[in-house]
Amino acid sequence: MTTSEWLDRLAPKALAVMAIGTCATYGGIHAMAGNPTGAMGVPDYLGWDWKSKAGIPIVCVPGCPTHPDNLSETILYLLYMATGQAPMIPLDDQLRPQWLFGATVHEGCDRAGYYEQGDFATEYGSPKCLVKLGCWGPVVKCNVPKRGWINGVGGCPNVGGICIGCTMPGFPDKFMPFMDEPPGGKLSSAASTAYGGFIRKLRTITTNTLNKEPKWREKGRTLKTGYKATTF
Amino acid sequence: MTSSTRSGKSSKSDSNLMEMNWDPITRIVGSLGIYTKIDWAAKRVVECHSTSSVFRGYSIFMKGKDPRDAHFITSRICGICGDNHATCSVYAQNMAYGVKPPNLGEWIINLGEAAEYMFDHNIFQENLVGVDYCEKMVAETNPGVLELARHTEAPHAEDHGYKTIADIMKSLNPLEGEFYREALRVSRETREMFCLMEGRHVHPSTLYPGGVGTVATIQLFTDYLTRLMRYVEFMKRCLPMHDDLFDFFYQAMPGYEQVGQRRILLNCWGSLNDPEYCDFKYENMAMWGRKMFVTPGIVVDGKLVTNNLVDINLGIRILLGSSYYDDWEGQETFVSHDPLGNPVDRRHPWNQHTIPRPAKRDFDSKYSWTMSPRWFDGKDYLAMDTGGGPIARLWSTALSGLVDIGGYVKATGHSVVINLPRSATKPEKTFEWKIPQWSNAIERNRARTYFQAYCAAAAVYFIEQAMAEIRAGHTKTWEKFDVPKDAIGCGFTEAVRGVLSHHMVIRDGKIANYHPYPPTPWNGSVRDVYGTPGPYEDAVQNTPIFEENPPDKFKGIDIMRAVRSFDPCLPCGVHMYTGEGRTVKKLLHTPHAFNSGG
Repeated sequence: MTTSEWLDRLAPKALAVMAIGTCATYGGIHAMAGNPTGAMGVPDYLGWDWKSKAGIPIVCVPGCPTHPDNLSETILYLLYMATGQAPMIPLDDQLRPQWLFGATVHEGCDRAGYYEQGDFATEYGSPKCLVKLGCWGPVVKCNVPKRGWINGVGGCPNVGGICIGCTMPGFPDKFMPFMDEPPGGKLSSAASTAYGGFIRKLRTITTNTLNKEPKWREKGRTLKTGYKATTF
Repeated sequence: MTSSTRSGKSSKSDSNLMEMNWDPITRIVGSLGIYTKIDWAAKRVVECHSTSSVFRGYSIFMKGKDPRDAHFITSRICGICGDNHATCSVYAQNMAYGVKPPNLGEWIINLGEAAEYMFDHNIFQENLVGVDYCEKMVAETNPGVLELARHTEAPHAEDHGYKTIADIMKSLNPLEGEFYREALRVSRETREMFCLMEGRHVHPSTLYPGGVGTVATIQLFTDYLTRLMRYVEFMKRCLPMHDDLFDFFYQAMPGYEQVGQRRILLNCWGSLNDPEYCDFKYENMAMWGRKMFVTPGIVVDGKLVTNNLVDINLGIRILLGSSYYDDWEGQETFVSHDPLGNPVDRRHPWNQHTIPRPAKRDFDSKYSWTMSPRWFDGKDYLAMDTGGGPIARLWSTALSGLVDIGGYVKATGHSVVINLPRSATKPEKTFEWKIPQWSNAIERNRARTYFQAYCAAAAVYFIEQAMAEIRAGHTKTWEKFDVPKDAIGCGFTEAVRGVLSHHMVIRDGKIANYHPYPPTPWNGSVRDVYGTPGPYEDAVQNTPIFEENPPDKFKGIDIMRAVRSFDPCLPCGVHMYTGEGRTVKKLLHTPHAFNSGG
């Protein structure tokens, strides 16, 4: 039996339909250009406006693979809903839970500071911003750098892996070849290089100041604390 | 993973014919079916067909894509061993681009892949396979055996803390058993170890041709080492416990060695490169293949045929016969000779064309989406199996006698010695895996536990090497490269469940041909054009039935143990016919196969 036959049989009876992973949500790798199977995501098959008999739209938790905690958390939310303890699940226009996919990778990335200062990695293995190596983080909706991959460990750009946009409906065709700098990013990273380079210089001055102990801590017999007796 | 699904009771009938559907039998995913005929008078499986119902066409849609995308794409072939694919693809790309990653990058990949083996074998053994040997299962299939287990003292009770064999079985009960739960915790930690090195499980974010993007710091390796040492400690209990459990099955059911037994035809493509030697040049592949920390090899009837990766590569043949594809006779040959000047066969993956031809399933004709990979020894097309990975890796490594991983792991020619260093509460401990008499279900399972210890010991060495690089100031993890206009490449490694190869042809800077061969097409392959059955098929075909249940309560536990000892990735819908094939019984199956709804 084909998967679409399973869907035809099960979907009409379902309280809710959840699509898990980018293949199930938007087609993903197996629906890439030139595929011989005609694979597609659940909303493309059932229709984007499809609602379950309980009035719940298709719930999409994309990601290739989907983040395990994003998945179980969404199931949990639906269970709360099913028992009347939570309101309708808030979804965005691509049917993703808003609290998970509202922010971009970049907004949650601990390397965004390098971007802001116009400091870009030119080789893999560098701790700096990966945008020039092919990272799509600034425009991809995903919480992985924020959440880590398991128990806060791992992730993508936060640990040295370019974001290839695996949670996005345009994945993979619109992101390939993955290892080239995103064409749209050239202008913004150039602007950041100019502005950020200046900011970085200013910050270097401040950092150098802060990176030294206050001047009254020094070798010698006299114990100074910076205390000044006030006399009235 | 073992959440209960629908279960139904059987309907009564007086006929001796029966059909059963397991869905999913694998406890993971399901697109493989095993169809058997059982002779109840002889208590033996007389015929078996394995069938795969999934086709996605990677080789087709990868054509014309940028070769640097290959590891990102092929990782998605599998939701269980995606990182093995990514690794293998990166190896094939390194060869094609002529790039040698910095040593540190290779140590990081080795640490990631070792963690993957430690993670996957652990969760599979304890949380998936273990269920077939747990108290609840044995109570339902072989109450007599459970009774015996209650009165059998565990020989290594002092090492693992379980007094009787029944205590071990109880600890493996799904969700409730103590060891089952501990193994779940261990699987989280090993997955963290993996993510430290490769970013994400199971599709790595930090693997690239030329090396890794992982930021190599002291902190990275400390975070890994602290978790690794807890695993080392865990293995000192886990391994003796499994020896006790598996030895007991031989003792309790004389003849149990025949379950899942097949001719010894084991293949291993080698794993975990030694960066001191591996330059990814095809011309030197025989040399650096022999330096791998798991030695490649073809083992036939217990003898090593070759450990030369070039010979192994050239002997691979992809046959059709029972598969839903058209032959590629008359199509273009991409690679007529390898870089050493050896002729490359038309049926070699470099020259393969994938031409799907869907059809209705017919066991007398075409019945599967898997092809029939074979290894040609100059005379016969051998239906090699991986035995689920570990048994082939250990067997091949033991026979070659080449491996010496800093004294932590040593191959002797007839065994593999594993030295686990001192850990928090346990002293140094030595284990020895000895080449077994049979390639059967029990030995495939036993080897899995030993290979977990192997990887833990090897990882201790890899950490030492990585730390030495950092301390010497070699922090570079990636090397630049250019994609040539025309090139070929091949990658060899071990996916968790066995051999994995990727073959790539680049023309005009684009992928012209790409064929990955993971373990499942080997193990789950089908009757080829010469009529030779695949490994699942002939292993199940000879399996005797030890289950105490009569046909109407039959669970097929011995068949399940035979199939799961290889690989849980595909076995799904299993249909059994007893007698002439009329269906009298249909029951829906739960992942753990217990009667009581839980």
